[in-house]
Amino acid sequence: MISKKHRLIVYAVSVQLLVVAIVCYAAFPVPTPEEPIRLMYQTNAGKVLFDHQMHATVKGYALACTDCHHLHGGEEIEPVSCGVCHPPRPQGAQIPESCLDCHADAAEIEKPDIMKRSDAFHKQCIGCHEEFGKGPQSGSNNCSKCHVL
Amino acid sequence: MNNAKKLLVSHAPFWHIGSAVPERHYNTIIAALPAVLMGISVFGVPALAVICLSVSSAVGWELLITRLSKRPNTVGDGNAALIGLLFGMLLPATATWWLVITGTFVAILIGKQIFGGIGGNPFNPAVLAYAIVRISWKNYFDIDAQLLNIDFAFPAFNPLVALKAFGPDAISQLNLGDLLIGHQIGGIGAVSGLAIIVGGVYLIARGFVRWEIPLAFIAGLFITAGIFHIVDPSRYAGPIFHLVAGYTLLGAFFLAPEDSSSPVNAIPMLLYGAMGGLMTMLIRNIGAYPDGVIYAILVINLINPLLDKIRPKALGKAA
Repeated sequence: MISKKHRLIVYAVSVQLLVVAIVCYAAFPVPTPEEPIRLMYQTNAGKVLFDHQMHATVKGYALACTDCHHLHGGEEIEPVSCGVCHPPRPQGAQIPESCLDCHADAAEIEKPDIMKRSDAFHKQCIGCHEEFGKGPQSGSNNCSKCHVL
Repeated sequence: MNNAKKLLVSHAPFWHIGSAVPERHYNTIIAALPAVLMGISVFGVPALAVICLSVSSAVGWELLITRLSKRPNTVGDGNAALIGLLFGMLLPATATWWLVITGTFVAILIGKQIFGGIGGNPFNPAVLAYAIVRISWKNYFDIDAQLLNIDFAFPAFNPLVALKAFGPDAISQLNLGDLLIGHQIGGIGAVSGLAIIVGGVYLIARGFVRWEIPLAFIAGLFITAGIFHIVDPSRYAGPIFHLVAGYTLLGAFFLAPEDSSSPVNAIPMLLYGAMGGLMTMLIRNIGAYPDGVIYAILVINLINPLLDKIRPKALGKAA
């Protein structure tokens, strides 16, 4: 038995829910945090979920920024996303492809080539995990310890 | 068994007791609310937006499609709202608005109206819609990737993905009690097994869901997961983990027992539920998807007409 009353109630509730949805979508989007909480790297060998907060705060391993993000010209700078410099870079981005794009004096740069992003990550992640002897270690059979296909 | 009093019928006029299709749908919506509220408490305002948009857009599509096809307006029976609510409960909290609207369109049109409306659908519309949009835009259903920017007070990774990719060691740190309460990431309405059980018990107690399907689903999953675990505990997680993780309980209490896509007799219901649990575990343990509930339910929906053939013999003889 579907009465007119039922219909009117559904209409009224649906309109109200629609208004709530529009307000919530428009006014309360999930903000992108200033410092990443978790990062997901989509790679050819599968995705890698990296818990940035766990590595960088006292909730976890409390690493300093410069333990992973390197210094620039010997000075600490505001950490930037690794993908900004390490290729492959975002399409159309106006960023240097080599240290020598900005630094005129080649003598002041030890290694002008910027390491590929995957090599940089592998070196960084595996190196640290091996140093501490915890978590996924290096080895050709250990890809699936981090990469999820 | 043959209670003589039950067979007594007084003469006309009769009075309708007021129980009808809408009551069933509204009660199912009420039963789902604890799980929805738990989801909103875990994920915050974005989850509220998804649920509200899912319900309202499903009702909107129902109204539009019944108008265009010149069918009776069935918005008042609450079925569209229920489909919208269940679809929203399956989504990640950060689902974009167009994904929600497209999903409810698929649920109402392809899941329900294309088969003639309520009672004619061979598949659970919300489940079918989820499967279609998930295949179409799989990255939007990657729970880990979708919830990167939300800070949680518990380990924030999809436990079923971690289990499939890294094995039982990866989930050994998780407390099963915490998972049951809702300290896990997943679909908005699927994170709190406890809230789902509360709603499910209410539906069973009120007679809107027969106990056979949820119980057989859980038993089928439990036994299958147990066998896998006993055979190789280093590769397969235990049955309790599978019970409290992912869409298991939502599937058992709210998705599998959908009216027109589930059997009506006791033995078929038991078989239907048990096969759902079995298929879920087969997909989770040896299939490609981390969570098999959605596809398991589609499969048992498919065999539902066959199971319905198992029925008591009719009295009397054909001439």
